[in-house]
Amino acid sequence: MRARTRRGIPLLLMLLAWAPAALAAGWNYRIGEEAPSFSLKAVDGKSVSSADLRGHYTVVSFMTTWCPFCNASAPHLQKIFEAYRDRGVGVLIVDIDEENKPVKKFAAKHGLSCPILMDPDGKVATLYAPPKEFIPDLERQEVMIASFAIIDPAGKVAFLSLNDKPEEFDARLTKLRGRLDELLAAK
Amino acid sequence: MRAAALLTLVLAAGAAHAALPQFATVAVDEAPTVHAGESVTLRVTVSITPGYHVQANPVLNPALIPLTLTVPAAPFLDAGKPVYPRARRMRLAGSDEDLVIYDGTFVLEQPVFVGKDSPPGEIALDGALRYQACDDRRCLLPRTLPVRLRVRVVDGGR
Repeated sequence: MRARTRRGIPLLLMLLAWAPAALAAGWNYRIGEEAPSFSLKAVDGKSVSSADLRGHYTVVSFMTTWCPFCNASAPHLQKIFEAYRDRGVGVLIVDIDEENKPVKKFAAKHGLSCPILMDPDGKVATLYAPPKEFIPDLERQEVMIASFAIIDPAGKVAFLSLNDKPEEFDARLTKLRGRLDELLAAK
Repeated sequence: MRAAALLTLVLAAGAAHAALPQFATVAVDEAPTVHAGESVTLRVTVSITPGYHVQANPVLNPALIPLTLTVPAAPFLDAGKPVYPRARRMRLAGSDEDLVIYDGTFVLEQPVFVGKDSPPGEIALDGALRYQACDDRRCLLPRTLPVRLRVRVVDGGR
C-alpha cells in the first residue's frame, strides 16, 4: 500500500507541474461575451456602430499604420474581405489613435476596401482588450495593436487572436480564417 | 577610452505616454573636454530589452517609426546630424517585405559644435530618443527617452 502511495507521488507532482501550464494555454478572454458596443467614424466620415454588425459575422482588425505586423497582415485581411464577402462576412478595421492622413495612405498602399474606423484615443480597442492580468505592463489599447476578433451574428465575441499563443505573429491570419470556416460551417 | 566614462541616464518615461514602461536604456559619454569653436562627437549607447527589436533609421517602409535622436540647439552649442549604425534585415513570417531593425546594444554618434564665443564650463543639450519596439508577437506604442549630452568647454572664446 505504502509502495503504491510512493509510486503515486511522482505522478501527482507531474500533474501539479503541468496544471499551471495547461491553464495558461487555455486563455479564453472575451470568448462568448457580448462584444463591447461602440460608435466610431470611418476614415471616409461615415458613422459605424456595433449595432450595424448584427446578423452576420464580422472580422475586426485592431491596427496602426506604423506597426510592422499590421503592414504584414493587411494584404491577407483584404484577401479575407474579398473571399468571404459573398458569404455575408464583414471586415472592419479599427485604427488606434492616429490621424486620417496616414490611415488613408495605408489603405491605398495595401488596396484595402473594407471600412476603416478611427478610434482616436484607443477607447474602443481598450474595451475589447483582455483584462489587466494579460501582459500587465502594457496599456490595454497597446495590447490590442495587431490583434483580430470575430464577432458573431448575435453580437458575441467568437474569436480573439490574443488567446492564441503562437511562436510568431500569424501574419497570414491562418487561425482566424480557420475559425471563420468553422463558424460558417456550423451555421 | 570613452567607454570607461559612460554616464548612464536614469530612464524617465516618454512624453506622449508618461506611464509606459521602457524597452530601451541609453548611456552617453561623460562630458568630454572641447575648445570653443571646435566640435566633438559623442557616443550614445542604446540597449534594447532582450527579445525586442526597434525599427532602424532609416526604415524601408516610410509608414514605420524609425529610431530617432533629436537634439535641439542650446546657447553656444549646436548638434549635427546623428549617425545611426548599420541595421539588421529581418522578415516577419508571412510578410512579403523586409524590415530593418536594431536589437541588443548599439551606438549612435552625435556630433556637437561648440560656438567660438562660448564661455568655459559645462554645457548640456537635452535631447530625446524616440523608438518603436516589437517582439515576435506584438508591437508597442512608440516611446521617448530623455538623452542629455554634455561637453566641458575649456579655453573659452575671447
